[in-house]
Amino acid sequence: MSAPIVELRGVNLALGGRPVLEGITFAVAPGRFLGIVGPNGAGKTTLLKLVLGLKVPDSGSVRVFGMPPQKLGRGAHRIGYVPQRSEMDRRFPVTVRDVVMMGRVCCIGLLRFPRKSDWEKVDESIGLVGLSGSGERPFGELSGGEQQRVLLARAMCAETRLLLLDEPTMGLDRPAEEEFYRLLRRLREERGLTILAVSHDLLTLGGLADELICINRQMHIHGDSQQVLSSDQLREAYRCELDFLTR
Amino acid sequence: MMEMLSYGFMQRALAASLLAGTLCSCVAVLVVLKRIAFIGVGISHSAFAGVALGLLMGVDPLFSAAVFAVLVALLIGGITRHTVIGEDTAIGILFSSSMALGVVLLGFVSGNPGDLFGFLFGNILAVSWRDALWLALVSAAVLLFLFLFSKELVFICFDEEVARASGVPVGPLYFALLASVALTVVVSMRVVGVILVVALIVIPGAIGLEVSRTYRGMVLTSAGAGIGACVGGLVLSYEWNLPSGGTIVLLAALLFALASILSRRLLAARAPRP
Repeated sequence: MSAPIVELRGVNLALGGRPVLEGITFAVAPGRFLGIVGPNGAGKTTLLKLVLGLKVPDSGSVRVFGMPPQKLGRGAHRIGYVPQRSEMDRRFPVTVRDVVMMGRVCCIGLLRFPRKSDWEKVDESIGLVGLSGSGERPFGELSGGEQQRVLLARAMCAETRLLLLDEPTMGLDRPAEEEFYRLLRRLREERGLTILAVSHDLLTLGGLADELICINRQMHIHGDSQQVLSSDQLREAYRCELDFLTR
Repeated sequence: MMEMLSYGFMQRALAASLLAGTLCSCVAVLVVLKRIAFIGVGISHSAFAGVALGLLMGVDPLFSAAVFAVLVALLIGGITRHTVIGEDTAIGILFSSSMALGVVLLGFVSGNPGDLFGFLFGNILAVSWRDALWLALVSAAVLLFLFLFSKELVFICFDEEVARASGVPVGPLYFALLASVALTVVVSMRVVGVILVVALIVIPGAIGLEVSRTYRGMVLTSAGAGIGACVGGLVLSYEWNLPSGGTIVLLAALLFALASILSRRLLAARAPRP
């Protein structure tokens, strides 16, 4: 088996004296799609931040492409991150092309300006998510689904091999959500991406991911999606919420 | 107008208002986008203690204010980033205690403490060529910084966490931005004073945000508004014999009100009709 792209071993993290993650251990092989599910406040976003190197575990180890994420340096270009869209300011004066160009900021480097080849890459990414011709539209005037596709284009604009998504379909209506996931499936097939996606929407993510991890501070279960979805241990993680989620 | 420019003090005042208008309005874009207007209030008020310190020690108040304001800017940045003390609480404590320190220090200054009212509320007519030169040098340095790091600064303002995850040196650039705000405030205080200067590092940016839909558009609108308010305010204050600092800030506020009305009308015109 090839070396895992992401590997966490016995990770513990407390924030403000409160344990957020305890004993988290899993690995993701190249090309796999791992869904991370769990109820609100379970530590899912924190887990992504550990993989991104935005947080450092109190104990245990996090390896991305075989090394701690803080030491990736230029290797960080291989990671694309789509954060929760609710944190965006809709009035921010940027066009679609400006937002996607942010994905190339670190490839370009400090004290340098985007070149023609960078703009070509930006337009290619915009085309990849089906928004060709929308490059000059203000980001704030797009629909929620379109904004999410732009953020995906930004994450894909570097030499992306690993894609991290945090509640990617939150706030989207059903057709926009289905369209986003269709796009994700296509990108994965075309580019051989490794994907880690966090969601509280167990059923949708379960239908898309190869493997699921269910966490609620601790890891409750890790296995193939269908195996996890039919497991009794899910009930333990979600407690009373599960009946509602699987109805 | 031509008669006004025949006076040396008015030539210096015009040069200072052009420079301060350009510098403050470009800084204002990032102050508004990064939502650090209240940090700007804290930094600008702290400059008063720096002025008092300079008067007491017999050094150029502009120099002591610059050192003090940059230190306070970095302190505010450090507290808000690395402690659990809230940003508004930290600024509330720091800016009031800086003002208090200034008042206490002034008590020790023997004789005439100089143009204190001018430091507080601006006295553009008292600007010397030396002040204008400092304004020009700081403008060149700060505008160069904003230009060279524009793609990183916009990224940080739009989405700080993703910027950090992408390897952008968010911490150093944030502190450099705060230091730029501090230097801008200090060299502009001759124009509108430490109390009113915050208006110039906020209002032009707010006008830019009201009427622009692109970053470049926001920078240009903000610069136009900042220069217009500074030069227009200077001319009005000369013609009607009004305090220059107050007139400049009131004109900027009026421009914001107009931009705000215009922006809502444009939005209403663009909205689909039922």
